Amino acid sequence: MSSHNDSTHLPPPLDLSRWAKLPALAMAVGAILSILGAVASPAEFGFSWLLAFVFFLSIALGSLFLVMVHHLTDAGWSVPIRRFCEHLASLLFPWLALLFLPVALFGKSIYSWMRVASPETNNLIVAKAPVFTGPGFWIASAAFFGIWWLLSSRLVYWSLRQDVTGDPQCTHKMRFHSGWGIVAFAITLTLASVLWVSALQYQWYSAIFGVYFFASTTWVTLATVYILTVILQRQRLLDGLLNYNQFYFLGVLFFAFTVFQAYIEFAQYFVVWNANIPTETFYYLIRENGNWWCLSMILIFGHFLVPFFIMLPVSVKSNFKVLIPVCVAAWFTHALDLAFNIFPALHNDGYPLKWIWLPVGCLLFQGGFLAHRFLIKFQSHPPYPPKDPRILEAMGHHFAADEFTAGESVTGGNQ
Amino acid sequence: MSDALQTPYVNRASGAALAFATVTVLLVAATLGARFLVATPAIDADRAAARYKALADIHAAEDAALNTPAWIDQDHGVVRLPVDLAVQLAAQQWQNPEQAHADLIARGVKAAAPLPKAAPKPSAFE
Repeated sequence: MSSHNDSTHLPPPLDLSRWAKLPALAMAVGAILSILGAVASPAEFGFSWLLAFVFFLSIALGSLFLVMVHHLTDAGWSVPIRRFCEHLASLLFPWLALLFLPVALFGKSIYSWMRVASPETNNLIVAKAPVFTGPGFWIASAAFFGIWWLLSSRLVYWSLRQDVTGDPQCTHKMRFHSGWGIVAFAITLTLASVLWVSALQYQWYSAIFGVYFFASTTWVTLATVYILTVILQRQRLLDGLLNYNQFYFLGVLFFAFTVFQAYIEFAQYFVVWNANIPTETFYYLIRENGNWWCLSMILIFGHFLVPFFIMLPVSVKSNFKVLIPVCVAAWFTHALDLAFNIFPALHNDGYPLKWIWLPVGCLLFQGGFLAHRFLIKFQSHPPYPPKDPRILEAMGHHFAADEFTAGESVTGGNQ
Repeated sequence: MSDALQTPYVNRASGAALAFATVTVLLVAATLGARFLVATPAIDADRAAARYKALADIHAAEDAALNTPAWIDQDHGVVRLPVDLAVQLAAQQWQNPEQAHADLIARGVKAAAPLPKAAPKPSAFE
């Protein structure tokens, strides 16, 4: 790892030009499978589309979180990876908002509370009446995307503006937007996860569900960011900017969220088990039926135990050969975790594997589409913020106090 | 002078002794009366058996209440269920959360509903 900045020992740049058509191919295959599914079974399609949507939403939201945390903590090490995180976050609007439309349009096939004949007699729906109504669902969803658009667009705007002006005030602007943004993010992420995922079985409620979704979101985003950082490093696009620190810090964060996510998921299970109330236990009771039980075992091992023990040694966190497979596996286990939350609302007795092609198709279409939009954004701007005040710090150049004072002595800068 | 001074003491001591003796006699008489005039049942094997039977009856009633289903209030649909059976039924019913929740609401409404008033007796003058 010590040779990251030493270009004489680097292998030739990674050429990904032959994969350029992969997003379009994924979109085409995914579109065919999705349309076939929508015709064959609107309910199956609705749930599969929701799974894919939430999967990519979690990566975009996690990227938004990482950008805000970067500004709020005034971090230096994460400057080189901030730009593509901004692009991932800006997928929230309009592209993910567009991908949400089928979820809303197929709402009655997906959400059982929309099919209740007389909701005014159902205490659970009445209690959530302003939101759990047809117009309420649309308005709340629009509000979520509106806030995410405002937040991500402001952060991207000032970041790109700094590329032109180099004005440190842009950093202060981004910090300001991160300040109110982190609160708005926490509220909207929690409400969105409840409205779009947890409400699939509206009879069940968990006070920790928002935190669980946040932990999963950041976990899979860190895996994605790690992979993208390695790709950019191998492409030499961030040559000289990346060193051991970035990979180690990303690995540590990924490891920390592996533990945190497992802790939150276990806490939710433990509280439900301990309370032993039928209106809560049924959620896990159903998830012991058929192959849901096998999936729960895969999640215990694949989502926590295996990555935990693999990443436990310090050196592994910056070892690409070990961590890249873990990150790729994180995509699969995150998708399976979402399936564990989403699909039992449709299939109580286990998932019928004959339908497996449909969620795969939805993931391919949305993944291809969003990858296409991401690449356009990425290629339109510098791959990192070149005039960020902390870019030198990220490169590993640290100045002694007297080096600063030498330049600031005219204005009487203090040490 | 000295006799005149000591006489009252002698009289007071005699009075106290008389009162003490009277109270003692009354207490002894009451004790003996209670002993011979009030009949108490004998502590014997039959009485111990009766107590064991009473305890067994209480346990049997508690066991029945715990382990057998029964109506508590049939008009309001309130039933008594063993815990194991209740868990089993809840687990079975909540496999379909939609139906289970609808049933829960219906049962709650029935349990809370006031019973219909009994028809008033016809007037003797009609």
